[in-house]
Parts: sequence; structure tokens; C-alpha cells
Amino acid sequence: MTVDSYKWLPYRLAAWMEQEWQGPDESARTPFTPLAKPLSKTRFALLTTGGFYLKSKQPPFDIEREAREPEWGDPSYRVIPKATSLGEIAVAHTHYNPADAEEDFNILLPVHRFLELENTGEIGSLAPSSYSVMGYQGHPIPDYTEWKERYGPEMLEQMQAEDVEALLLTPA
Amino acid sequence: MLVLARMFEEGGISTILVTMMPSWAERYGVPRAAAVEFPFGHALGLPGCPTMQSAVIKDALKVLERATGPNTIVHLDHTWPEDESQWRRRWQPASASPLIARYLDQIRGMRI
Repeated sequence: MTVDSYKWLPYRLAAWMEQEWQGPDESARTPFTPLAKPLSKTRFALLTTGGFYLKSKQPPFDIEREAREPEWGDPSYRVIPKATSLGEIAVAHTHYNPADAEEDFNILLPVHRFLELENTGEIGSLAPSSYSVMGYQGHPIPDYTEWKERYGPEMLEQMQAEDVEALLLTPA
Repeated sequence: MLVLARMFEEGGISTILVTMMPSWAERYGVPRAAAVEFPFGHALGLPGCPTMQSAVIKDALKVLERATGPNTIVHLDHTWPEDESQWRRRWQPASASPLIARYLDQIRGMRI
């Protein structure tokens, strides 16, 4: 089947997004790192843009500033440890209904599913740390400066320190 | 998210993106992506449905395993198991995001 990118959007919102959010074509310069080992030997980390944070241990993404400045989005990130239980994650993201993700974070950050794959030997392992950002990074042109210059390199450094070889990314 | 996938790929990590917006991934360019026609906020399926989540994950891992070059986008065959008209509204936030609230008049004026 061919996935319709606009299936779930109200028609006028879809038309507006098409008009406003035509990003550049960078496909001629897409990087590629071949998978070095079979999945059964590969160490994974997970990353979602769902706006996840650990309840009472981490600050939420700054949606109060976003309310004052709708064309700005919080670029920071949160580290979500492998040993996180259902109920320990909350969501700060104003662009989708977070109720289902708060009930079962595995629909966006599948920590428990990857622990199962680790147990059955289908993957090598899940690294100690997974990550969340909040995907909305501003309008009309998203501002990726902090992701590119600060937070991205910090997450990459932590992944490398934990010998991560592959990363599953899930947008909200 | 595409920016991050490319950044980590460049840093030596093999990435697989599960996306609901394959047209965006295709235009901007992504190392590898598995596309699903699921409502926003539900990239891997329904809460409390580990079987569905695992099925999508395993298909995404196949794309990771088999891709031989960049811009590999595979559309997965999973279909949303619940009522579509209900879910067109259900994934949306209870109140409009600050951005959508600000641009509401412009959005309502779009010709379709």
C-alpha cells in the first residue's frame, strides 16, 4: 500500500501545512551508515519526538513559553532510562493528544518491546539510555540550531559512550 | 526528526525512522524509513497492544536490516484497526496548539 501522509488531518489544515511547511530537498546528500552487524548482535537506542519526560524527576518541555511564543518550540531533550515503568512518563507536547502515550509509552518509545527483543535474542541489546525531544521546533521555518549545535551532539556523545550502533526514531 | 536522523547517521549510527509522513521524508531525504498510515501520536499502534507494536517494530527492523543505501522508504501494510472517522478527531489535542490557534483564520480560509 501507499501511505497517505495527510490521511488523518482536517482538509484545510493539510492544505495549510503543504503550503507552509515545504522543506528543502536535501535527498541528494542523505548520509548512510551501513548496519555493521546482524540485528541479533546490534545495540540499540530509541528516540521519540513525543515530548516525554520522567514525572517528578525531570522538568516538562517548556510549553508555557510556547503558549506565549507560538512560533517557538523547546529544543531540549530528556534521557529516558531502560528501567522505566508504565506510569512514570508524562508528556508535554501541544500538537497531539498525549493520553494514549501517557497510558502506554511503548506506542512511541518502545522500551518494553525492545527488552522483549533483547530477551529473545532478536536484537543484541537495548542501551541504558533512550531519548525524547519535543518535535515542534517553530514556525514558519523550524529552528534546528540548538539540535544541530548543542543537543544533537550531546545525545550522540552519550550514544557513542554507550556503544549504540542503531537507533529507532519515532515521531509523534 | 529528519534532521536528527541524518545527524546521528552522519555520526556513525544506523537509523530507522518510523513515519506517518513519508512525503516529507522523501522530500527532505532520510537514511531509512518505514511508513505507517497511523494517526499522529501512535507511530507503533494502540496502547496496551504489544502484539501490534511488536509487529510494526519487526517490520521496521527488516527495513533497517535490508536497506542498501540512503533514501530507502518502505510503506508498511498495517492498517489502523479502529474507526477512522472517530480517530481523525481523537488524535488531536483537546484544544488547538498555540500555533494553530494563532493561524486559525488563515487555515479556515484555505481553498480545498
